[in-house]
Amino acid sequence: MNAVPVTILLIEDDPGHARLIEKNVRRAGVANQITHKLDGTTALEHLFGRGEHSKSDPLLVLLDLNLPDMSGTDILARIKADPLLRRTPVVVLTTTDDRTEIQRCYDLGCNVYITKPVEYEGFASAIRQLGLFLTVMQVPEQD
Amino acid sequence: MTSSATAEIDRVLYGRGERLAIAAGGLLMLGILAASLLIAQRTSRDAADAIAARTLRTATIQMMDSLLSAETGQRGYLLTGRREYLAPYTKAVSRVPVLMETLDRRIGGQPDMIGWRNVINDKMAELAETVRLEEGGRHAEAMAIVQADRGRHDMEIARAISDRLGAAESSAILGDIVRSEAGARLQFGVDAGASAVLILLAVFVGRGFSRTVGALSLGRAELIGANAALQAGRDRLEAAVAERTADLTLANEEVQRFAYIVSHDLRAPLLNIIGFTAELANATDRLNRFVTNNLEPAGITVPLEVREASQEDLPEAIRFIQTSTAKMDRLITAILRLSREGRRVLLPERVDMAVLLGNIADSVHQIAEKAGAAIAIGDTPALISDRLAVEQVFSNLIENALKYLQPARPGQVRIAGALEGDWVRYSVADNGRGIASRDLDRIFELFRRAGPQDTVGEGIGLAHVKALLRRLGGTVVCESTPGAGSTFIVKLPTVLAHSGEVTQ
Repeated sequence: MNAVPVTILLIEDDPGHARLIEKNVRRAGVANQITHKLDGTTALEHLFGRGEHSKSDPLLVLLDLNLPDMSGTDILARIKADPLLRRTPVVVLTTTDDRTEIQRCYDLGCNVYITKPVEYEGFASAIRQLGLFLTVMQVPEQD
Repeated sequence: MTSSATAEIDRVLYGRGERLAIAAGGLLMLGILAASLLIAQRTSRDAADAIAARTLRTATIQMMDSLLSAETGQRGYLLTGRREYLAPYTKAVSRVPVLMETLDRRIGGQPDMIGWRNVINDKMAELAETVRLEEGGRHAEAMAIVQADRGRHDMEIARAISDRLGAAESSAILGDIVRSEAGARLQFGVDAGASAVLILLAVFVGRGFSRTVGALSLGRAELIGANAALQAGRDRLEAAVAERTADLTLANEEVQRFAYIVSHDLRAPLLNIIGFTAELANATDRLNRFVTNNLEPAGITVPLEVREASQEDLPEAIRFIQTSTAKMDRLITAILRLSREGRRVLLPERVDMAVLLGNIADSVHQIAEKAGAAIAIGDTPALISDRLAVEQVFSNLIENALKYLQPARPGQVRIAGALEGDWVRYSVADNGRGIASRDLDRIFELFRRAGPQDTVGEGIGLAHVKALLRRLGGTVVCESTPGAGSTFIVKLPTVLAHSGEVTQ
């Protein structure tokens, strides 16, 4: 594996969910840096604002749809409309398996849609698969 | 129209006054007809009498005329000796007997007539004798008879009688005329009276009629007014219904949103419980592995309390949490599904029930086989409805039927259907364990179940069935005999109204 670092941006308002996701991502052997944003506004600032994130850096977005200040689909649309960010893989995490919502996310360009509670095996494999397209830094299996 | 209303109209149409008037009018008309007939008969008799009197009068005059003609002819002949002067005489000779016969027929028995006949006959005989003497060239003899004044005398008597007869006849004619005129006047009077009565009757009945017509048109006006009022009331009612429907639709939408949001938001903390319980289980496993793999082989004794905590208490607590959260997750999922189902737009299409039920039976084939049950699908009419919703209804009912069978006997699930007007009535009958009558309503409530809780389930299926049928404009009821079996009767409109926007 080569070592171009991909940053994972986790946009999730529920700290418990964020912690669980982080734990499972780590457990899947993914050691990349995880940046956690608790709402849409700060997430958009991070993505499109000055400073923090350089648009050229490779990025993976884990996006919760139910955010207190906006719908995750708005963020998804913004990412997919941006010429530099539109290739960024987005994993949508949500509590609902509403078919129309899932369809809408795929239409907007989401790469993977995962229903919570995450079946951890599936979640980890989804992350790993995405890692095949990106350069995801893997840490050696610990066990 | 009610019978009292009919009676009312009868009363208005035929008031007591009008009924009496019409009856009296009928009687009067009969009387007038009879009188008219009598008068006409008498008048015609009078007229016949008058004609007879005139005939008699004419005959009398003609008789005198004939006598004079005969005398004139005789005198001319005797004076000139030329036969052509005799023509009036000859003509009279042939006419007198005819006239005499007519007169005899009419007044043959009257004394004047007897006398008249004698004197006429005598006159005619005197004339005949003189003519005969003249013809025989005995002119002097003939002239002697004439000069004997027999003929002149006869003529005077005949004229006198004729005058008398004439007077009598004239007066008879006059009487006849008077009677005839009286008859005509009577006839006229009766006719006029009848006409007057008829006119009066017509006026009376007409007034009644116009009153009736007035009452009717008044009634009609009232009816129109009442109709308008009714229409206004109906409009108000419809407006109220529309308003209420709009309110209910809004309330329904709110409930839907509420259910969606609640279930969504309930789920977020639940996911934490589920996730962190998994973390707890994971950590406990690691602890126990460490004890088993590292401490015990190293001869380190773990206190019983600690062992119990890590190997029994923690896993037990975690198990309970997981069972409960799993159930809670199912319930929330069910509410979410119901709320989502309630917002789904229904698409009416032709649903071949035989095919649909056949597919359901195929999909539950394994369950049925395992339960030793048979599914029999009878005649099931097709309908126009939302396929998915109908499928969910019958899937639930058939799965339930297989779920609550009586283990002691082979299961039987019979599905049948029949058209009932604009409805189709389907029944799903089983020979399972049945449902107590007190539970027949409860089973359709969300999260409620009946009987021994020996099968897996959350009490969602029938609530779902009921909610679906409400949206489809249908109904479901259950009939059951505990221990013998249950029958679920589903009624659906044969054609689902296209009401895509309605949310329930």
